[in-house]
Formats: sequence, C-alpha cells, structure tokens
Amino acid sequence: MMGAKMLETPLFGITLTLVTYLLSQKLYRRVGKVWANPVLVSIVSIIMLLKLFDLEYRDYARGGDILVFLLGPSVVALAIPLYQRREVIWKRKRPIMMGVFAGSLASILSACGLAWILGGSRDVILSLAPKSVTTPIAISIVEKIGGIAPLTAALVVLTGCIGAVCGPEFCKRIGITSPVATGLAVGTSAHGIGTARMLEVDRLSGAVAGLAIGLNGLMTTFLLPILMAIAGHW
Amino acid sequence: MVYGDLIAAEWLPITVATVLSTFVVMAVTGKIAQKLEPSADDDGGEDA
Repeated sequence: MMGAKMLETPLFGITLTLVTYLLSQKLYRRVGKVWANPVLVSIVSIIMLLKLFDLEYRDYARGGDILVFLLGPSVVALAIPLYQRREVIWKRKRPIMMGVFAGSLASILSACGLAWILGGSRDVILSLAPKSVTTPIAISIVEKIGGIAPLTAALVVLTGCIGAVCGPEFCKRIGITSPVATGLAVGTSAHGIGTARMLEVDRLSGAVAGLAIGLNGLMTTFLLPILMAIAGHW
Repeated sequence: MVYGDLIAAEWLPITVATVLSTFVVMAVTGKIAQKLEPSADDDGGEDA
C-alpha cells in the first residue's frame, strides 16, 4: 500500500529518472563507447523498468514533467558558455546564420518530404515538421499548425538522442571537423540533448550548439508558415 | 498509449523521416557552416 501511494507522488518519477541517469553516466564513463550514451541508456532502462513492473506512464510522468519543466532554465543557462566565447562566435556570424537557416529548411523539407513519400498522414507530417526544434518551441509550433503535440514531443526527444549518440562521430566521418561547424550541426539537428553531448566533447562546440537551439527555433517558427502556404498552393 | 494505434499504423514514415532527417540536417548545417567559415585564423577548439 505504501508503495502504491509512493507511485502517486512526483517523487517516484524524479527519483527513478535521476538515479537511472546517474548510473548511466557511471556506465558511460567506465565503458566510454558511443552506444553507452547516458541519455539513450536512461531512456531504454526506464522504459524497461516501467514495462517490467507494469507501471503506468502517467505515474512516471508526474515527476518526469517537473524535470521537463527544468529544461527551460537549463537552455537559458547555456548563455554563459556562449558569453564566454562571444568574440570567436561573433566573428563567425555569417556561417552560423547561413548554416542554421539551411539546416532549418532541410529539417522541415526532409522530415515532411520523407514522411509524405512513405505515405504518412497529414497529422503525422505536421507533427514531424518541428522535430529538430527544442521541446517548448516545437510544442507551441505544432499546436498552431495542427499536428499531434505528444507525438512531436516524443519525436523531438528521439531526434535529440540520435544526434547526441551519433552526431560527433557522423560529423567527423563526413569531413565536418571545425568545432564551430560540428557544434552548429548537432545543435541545429538535435537541440538540447545534442548540445549536452557537445558540451562534453568541446566547450566551444557546446556553446555554438546552444546558440543553434535558439536560432533554429526562431527560423523554424518563421519558415514553417511560409512553406505551408507554398505547399497549400499545390 | 494514447496514440498507440496511429504510431502502429504509421511507424515506417515516422521512423524513417525522423532518423534520416536528423542526419540530413547535421550534414547540411555542418557542411555549409564549415565552407563559409573564415579559415585564416583557426582559433577554434578547446578553450580557444
């Protein structure tokens, strides 16, 4: 009975998330392999634990939602590494702006285009449109354009995990070696989760990735209605 | 799962679009930024 009561408090979700993440980080430090990415390991472990003990996602989300709320302040805190490297970044304002603009456009076109080619419904296509944007902005966008907000939230996290797990290695393999370009690529594609990973790889890359989160949110907000109007003409 | 049926019916476009698009965005953003970056002064990197 005591256990059942515990599940009804936010403490359950918060404790489960924090303990799992701390253990995953320990594992990552020990193994040092890309697949042991703490975000990925935490997600998989929590899903497995909830399934194994037949626990309701709703009970977990009570605490999980509080942690999601903290995502906002953490994104704002990225202003600090950004401020510390403002001169290096300001010197590269043009490549940064052009890179994020192209990335934002590529994100909407490739996600919606691929889903459309593979027979995705209108709801799914619209939910995919802001998937590279940070969660709070993505949710506001999708609520305006008429997609499914919970699906978008899940796709945003999935995108972030893919970028965080594969981003640095993928960039290296295709010849993106500059720390600014790498940070920008992972930040534009994989927002906060990718940025957290880039901060571990290189401080400058992490700062630029943090900037890319905001810029991509802004550009997607402006680009999406224009692209939808164009698509509506066809 | 509230949207379980929808995800089950459209898992292919959802997964393929999400995964491929993530890589497309990284490639496009990174390549363009790197091409336009000033190359003369390489003051990037750790604790530049």
